[in-house]
Amino acid sequence: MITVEHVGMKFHLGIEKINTLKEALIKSVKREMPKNEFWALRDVSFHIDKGDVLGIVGANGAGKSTLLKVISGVFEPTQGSVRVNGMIAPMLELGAGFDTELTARENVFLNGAVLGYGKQFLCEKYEEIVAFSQLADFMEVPVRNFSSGMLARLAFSISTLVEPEVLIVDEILSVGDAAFQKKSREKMQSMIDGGTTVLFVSHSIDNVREICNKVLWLDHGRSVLLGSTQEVCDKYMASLGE
Amino acid sequence: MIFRYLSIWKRYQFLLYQLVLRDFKVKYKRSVLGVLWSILHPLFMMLIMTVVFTNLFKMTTSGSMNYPVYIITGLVIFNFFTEATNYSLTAITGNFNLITKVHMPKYIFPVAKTITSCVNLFFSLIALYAVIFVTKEDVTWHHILLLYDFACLFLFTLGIGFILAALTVFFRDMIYLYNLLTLAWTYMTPIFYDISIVGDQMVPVFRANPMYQYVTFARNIILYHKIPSTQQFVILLVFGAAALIAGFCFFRRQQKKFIYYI
Repeated sequence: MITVEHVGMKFHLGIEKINTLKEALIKSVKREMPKNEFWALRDVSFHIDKGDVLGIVGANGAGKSTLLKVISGVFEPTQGSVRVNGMIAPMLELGAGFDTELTARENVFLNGAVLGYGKQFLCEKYEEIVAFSQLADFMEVPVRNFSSGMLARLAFSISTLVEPEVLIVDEILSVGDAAFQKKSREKMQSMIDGGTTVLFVSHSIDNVREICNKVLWLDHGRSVLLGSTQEVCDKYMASLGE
Repeated sequence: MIFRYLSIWKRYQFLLYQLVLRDFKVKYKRSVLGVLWSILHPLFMMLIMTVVFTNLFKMTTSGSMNYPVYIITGLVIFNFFTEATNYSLTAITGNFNLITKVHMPKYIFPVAKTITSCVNLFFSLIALYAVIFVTKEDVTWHHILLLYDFACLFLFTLGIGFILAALTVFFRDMIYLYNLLTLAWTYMTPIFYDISIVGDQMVPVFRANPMYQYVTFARNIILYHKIPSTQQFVILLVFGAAALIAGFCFFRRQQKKFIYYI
């Protein structure tokens, strides 16, 4: 389903980034080209099958989010290759794809289109999305008036109800109130039972243990260990205890 | 390769539609008159210019010309170009929240911005025909040829939009530079004056300006009711195709680097 082979991702650090004409001129006069390289990922390889739920753990800056972006096609890897069979639905971070001036209803269609779905499909799913988000009374309100919890509910409802083949979840279950968290975890479980492949990034080891069947441990861009949830989580927790 | 692009476009058709719809809705959200502004804006600009240039500066144009129609024709065409290119300028940087989260063809953003401006162009044409009607200018069959003008202008505008969108990612200075460039461009294009007021040796320079060609083509049709020369037909297409090909190639070469600069 997803094969990642020897993926490396190199960035030039922000400090050296040339963003204005003046900087470009100064830099070219000084013959100083940015050399401050940083490898966010190095030689990461793994393979998961349809229906697998892969948890990705590691400290801040370990390369978890970068890996997700390489898999979803946002970043093109500097080295190696990624092969994905099937449609990917990235979980948009808290309303990243929303336009605050538009109403919730308009945003459902905009966001759905951004995720690559057609009009007919979204029209069919619309009622279901509204019902799941529990925002039926607010669909004609511009989302700039929404609370962050309401935004998260809307975003989650759109991402999950469109039945992706691969779902990418980056720290989303920590938003919304307790009831919605429970509901969204149940929803993810039912998607997993239905055969959806999930890539799940979380700092909550408890969440990872609960839903994942495989775990990848990243440290400074390198994969430390890939294996069963039990094994990797235990070793990861042990390394934190040191 | 062309087939591949077509299949991608087919897949993202709905997204394009949604992006245009969003831009258009957001543009007039919270304004009382809303979309009416698309008609009123060129109309009032034309009125102001007509008053300023015929009464204050005693601008004379060749013969007994219909000055209001002369101005609004230039305005409608030139405003479409500046509006669309200014939108395209920030098409990529303004949508970074989508580009960094979801994989999608990045061309779609400048294209969406240019199409949004086409919708505005449609409304400003209502203003143009209102002025034609009020000033009792004849509408002849030649008006059909305006479609050719707009089609070539669309290609040209989109091409420039691609270049600007890509450049702005790397150099945010483009926003200020382009602002000045459009100002110079406005004066270099005979919108409110006639080309006969510039010296003979300058005429070739003015003719090399694509916007002069697009505006003159439309004026030949609307004001003089004649079929533009074959040469003009060719020039319009050449400018349009050249800009689009150059813009597309430039954008395609740069787009992989966008993500590191946003």
